[in-house]
Amino acid sequence: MKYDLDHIRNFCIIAHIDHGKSTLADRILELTNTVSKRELKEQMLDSMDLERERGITIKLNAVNFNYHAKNGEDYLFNLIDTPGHVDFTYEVSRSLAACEGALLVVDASQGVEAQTLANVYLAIDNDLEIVPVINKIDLPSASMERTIKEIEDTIGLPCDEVVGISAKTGLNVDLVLEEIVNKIPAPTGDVNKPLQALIFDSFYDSYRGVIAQVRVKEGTVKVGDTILLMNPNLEYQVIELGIRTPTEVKKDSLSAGEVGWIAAQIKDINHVRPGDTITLKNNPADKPLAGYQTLNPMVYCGLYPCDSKKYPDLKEALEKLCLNDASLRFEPETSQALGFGFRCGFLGLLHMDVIQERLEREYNIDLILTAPSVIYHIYLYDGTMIELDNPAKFPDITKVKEIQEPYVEAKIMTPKEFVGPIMQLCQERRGIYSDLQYLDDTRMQMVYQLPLSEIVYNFFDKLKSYSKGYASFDYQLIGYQASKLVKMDILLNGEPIDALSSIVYKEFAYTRGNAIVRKLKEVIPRQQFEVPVQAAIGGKVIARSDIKAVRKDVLAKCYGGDISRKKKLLEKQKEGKKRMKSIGTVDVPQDAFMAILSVDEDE
Amino acid sequence: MERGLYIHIPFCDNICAYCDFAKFFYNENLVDQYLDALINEIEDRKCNNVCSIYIGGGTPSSLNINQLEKLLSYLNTNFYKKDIPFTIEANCENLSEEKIILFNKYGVNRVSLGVQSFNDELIKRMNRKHNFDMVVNTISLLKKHHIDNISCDLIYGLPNETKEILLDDIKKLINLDIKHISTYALQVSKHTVFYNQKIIEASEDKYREFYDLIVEELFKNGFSRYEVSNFSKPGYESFHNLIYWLNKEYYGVGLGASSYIDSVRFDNTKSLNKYLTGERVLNKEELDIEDKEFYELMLGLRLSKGININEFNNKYNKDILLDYKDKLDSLFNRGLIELKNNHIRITDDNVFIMDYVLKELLF
Repeated sequence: MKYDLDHIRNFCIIAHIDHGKSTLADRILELTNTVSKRELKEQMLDSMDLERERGITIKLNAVNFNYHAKNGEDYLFNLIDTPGHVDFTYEVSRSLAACEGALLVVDASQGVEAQTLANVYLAIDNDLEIVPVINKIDLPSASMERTIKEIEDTIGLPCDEVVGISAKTGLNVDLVLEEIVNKIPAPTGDVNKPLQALIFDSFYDSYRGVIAQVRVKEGTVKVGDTILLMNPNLEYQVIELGIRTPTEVKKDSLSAGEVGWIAAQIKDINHVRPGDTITLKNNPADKPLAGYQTLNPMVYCGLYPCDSKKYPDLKEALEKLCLNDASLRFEPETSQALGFGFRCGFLGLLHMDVIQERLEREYNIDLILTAPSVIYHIYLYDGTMIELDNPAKFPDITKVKEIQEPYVEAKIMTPKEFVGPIMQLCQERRGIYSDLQYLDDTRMQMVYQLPLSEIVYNFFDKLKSYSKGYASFDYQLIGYQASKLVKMDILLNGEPIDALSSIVYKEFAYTRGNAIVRKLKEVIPRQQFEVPVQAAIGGKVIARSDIKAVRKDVLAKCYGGDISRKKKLLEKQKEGKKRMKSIGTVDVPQDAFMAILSVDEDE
Repeated sequence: MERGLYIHIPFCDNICAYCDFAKFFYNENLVDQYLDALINEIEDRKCNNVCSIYIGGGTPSSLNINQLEKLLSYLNTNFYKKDIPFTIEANCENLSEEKIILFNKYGVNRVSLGVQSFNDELIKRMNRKHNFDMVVNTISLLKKHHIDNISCDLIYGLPNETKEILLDDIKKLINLDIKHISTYALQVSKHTVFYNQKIIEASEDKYREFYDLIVEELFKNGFSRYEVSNFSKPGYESFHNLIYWLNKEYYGVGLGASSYIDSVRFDNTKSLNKYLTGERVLNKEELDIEDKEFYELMLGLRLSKGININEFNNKYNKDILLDYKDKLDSLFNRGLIELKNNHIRITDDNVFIMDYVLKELLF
């Protein structure tokens, strides 16, 4: 079927984690008969196992389908799913650039959350039409009235005709489809103008090369056309193109207003950059579309294969992941303790976590991660400045004039009864108070300036536990400020372990050092002899704890049936040992290197 | 090839709090059916070339005199030969003189008594039914009937056990003038009373302290350690149990028993119903040469003698000192193992961390 521009709607869904975004997407696909109930896996658009397991959307995903509206006409809907987590704002901005409108899904019992707000502002900045939808109205704790007031007060969106739905039961989802037809504008564009297609995502297919996901803004692209990727200025011939419904459907052409995919035997993953514009070689556009800027990583850590033979595999896997993830960076580094690996940059901790899990699951590489670090600016007396993303490379302290660290502005939304404990948490984390205001009768928004390193260090979990899970937060980098920071080394058996070094706030060094050595003692298994674990600053030991010598490691009773059980047990332990790194004669488990993050100083 | 024969009797008059073996309360009718099924299994499997017989449990002495006679006479008729090591496990409270006479009649020449402790508090805690005097009486009865190859089991690390209680237990055991002692660190396993009572095992350090005390006292009194947990007077090592640790083959018949026959290790079902209807085998592990080598090292290091280098090299067509050179060198240098009489053995002080040593060697 051919659709004119008036009968195309490109939209995405914005929502906080758990507010029902993916469930609503499923229901829409089902209601429009795009996917039958039988085919419908829970949460269709979250295609990675990881996404489905964790209930989060990481990658954006696009699907095209027909909707037969109540006015009797057929419409082509293009739904682009977006991630809901603070780490993936970049992916959100990519999908927004391909849409004319967004459904804003708000949970009727939870209300507007910090992250929702951040994404709504992004959508408004992109001139998208926002259609609010209130979800989970079937829950006993739901309140339409309160939620409407919150949307009106905090976002300023009029909610006179807002639809209340239950994505779970399907209640009123049909009304949402009508809202899309009536409220979201049809795309504009001229099929006769020179081609301008915005790449908003790409993925690698081992048979067809790199596949670009595009939104055609102007013109038409056909199979056989010679296209020009404007940023690297490279030519390719279109082999196939089409749409996803959500299975791939090949087409002859894609025209202005449409969303689809293009395959052109592109082998090099670096040639297809999200944000770039595709045009035609014979009739090129004068300039590329505005695109969007790539976000820079905020958090760095070392990634090392447990088995050093897997280094080339790790390199290849990282290259592949970078194809779909412009914000992931990596470069080779060497650690005395861990051997050859990579220093990798991430948007945040969840991003780091997801990459780790994908490497381990999809590429089958056991990894050791070092504790994440932010980028410090180190000013030396000789006038130079070092951007330090690895604490082990901290320069000679006598040459250092000043150390600056990144600060963020954090917006925290919380029911008012948790304001006290959260303020305390922010103070403990060196936060500088800047604002506190009521969002409505029960909820408040607080604004703090915080060192990014303090957020990396277990902040999110603490925030959740201080607020019984109710608080949400969002942050933005605001610049660098000078701080009293020191490099803390960790010594195992008297030897400093470079991969365990960290940069800490001077006043916190003693408590943190103590907590870390205690934690390491817990996670490192007993060894033949007692092994001291020490924390030291500039050669001076500030904390110590001892890993005890192993005293009993034996199966006392080993007869008939115990024998094969014992072998199985040993084989299991062998698997566990593969995930350890031998440093000297000490076997250090994977999680020891992250111990710095999970220590609890209150213990 | 000669093989051991293990026979499992899963019946008891009462259930001990730590026991995770296949076991049931004694029931005369059920035991009759079980013995028939047991004999069927032995017939079906054509057990042959048996060089050792061991009846374990459960509590084999819980069987009544007729049942015991049926079992022992069957074994005697089919497998007895002169001087074959023939052990039966027994508890004092149901081992009558009449049963001991039967043992004698059918060639049983070694009795392993479940003692575990002499401390009345701990005995009660374990839900066992004996006391010190009963053990003394049983042992003199056995000796009266010329069974002086007697072993006792001892458990250490029981809830609230102190070093003093343990020392008292060891001294009493030594005074009984027996040939063999097996000692076991308490292990709280699932499906046991202790587990359900949420009993927590003693610390690594406490177990080590107890073990060291046992070793010290037994060494002083003429016992030597021939396996991690087993001590004997010279010449009284358990022939049957050595079959396991020397990685030799054995039949295991009865509920939940394990076998190692023709390069296959397998376990029998623990379901009495299934067993009685002849559905016996639960799982099988077919061994290749590498598996066998793994077992050889895992088991051989349990023995005080250690691994016989020549035998190992012949069996696996290897040169162990070369093929494991790096690992062995590291273990030698750290004092964890030594070479003695052409064997590789764990040094005396490190027997209780033998798995640590084994893991260093194997991984």
